Amino acid sequence: MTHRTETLNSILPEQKDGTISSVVVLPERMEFETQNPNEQVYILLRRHIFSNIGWVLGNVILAVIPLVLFIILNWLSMDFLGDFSIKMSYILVAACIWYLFLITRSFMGFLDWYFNIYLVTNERVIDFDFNAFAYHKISETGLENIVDATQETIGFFPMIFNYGDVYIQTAGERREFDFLAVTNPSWVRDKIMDLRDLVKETPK
Amino acid sequence: METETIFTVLVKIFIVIMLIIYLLVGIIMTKQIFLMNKAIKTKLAGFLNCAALIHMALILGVLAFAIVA
Repeated sequence: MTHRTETLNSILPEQKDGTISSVVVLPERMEFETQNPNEQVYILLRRHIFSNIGWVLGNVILAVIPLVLFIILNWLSMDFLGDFSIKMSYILVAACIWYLFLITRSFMGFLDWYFNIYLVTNERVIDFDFNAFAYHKISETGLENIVDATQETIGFFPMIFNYGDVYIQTAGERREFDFLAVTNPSWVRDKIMDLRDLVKETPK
Repeated sequence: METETIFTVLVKIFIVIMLIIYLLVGIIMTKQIFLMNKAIKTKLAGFLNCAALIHMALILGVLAFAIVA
């Protein structure tokens, strides 16, 4: 076993895999388009699962609104169909469109979380930014370019659920990489710096 | 009676236009998902491609239902 492998085993002692997980260590069956032949993914990071609470709660409320409205109007026995005597089929179409909109919103929320990932490989740090219909952006920097990393945990929920931001200063063209709302930011910052040191100690 | 007919037609046109715009949004979204699944290959890639197609089918279904109804 080489010195590099030994050091790597001490930095990342165990594999932590999961299809839908916010921290994956040494992922299996994970590839990306611009991966080099000997490049290995060490860490895959997504935003903490709790950061999805906004759109999940929003969708639950939006899903309940038509039902509540229908019950209230029924209870008040209001003639909400008015003079135009809207047919039942219109109400059905409106309900279908409403729930289709909610399905799209949920799907987009999930995709936004799932595809906005940060990768740390044995060569570089890559930031994938994705938006369901606006853009996708991929930025990267070599591990040896990392100058320092800062973590920040602000707010009530980040404190409770242990998630926060990690800012990576680089000597490259793009000065800063922001890993937003990642789980256990201290661990992330520590591992990135250890991997940077490993790359600097054992050049290619 | 005449007001009712005009109102009905206007609502129908509005709904169909909205759904056609929605369909375009769905197509762009599906394309983006395919692109991202190509850029990052994970275990869920196949499932997400299927989900994107099902989502498109749902939009088409609702559009057809709105036209028929």
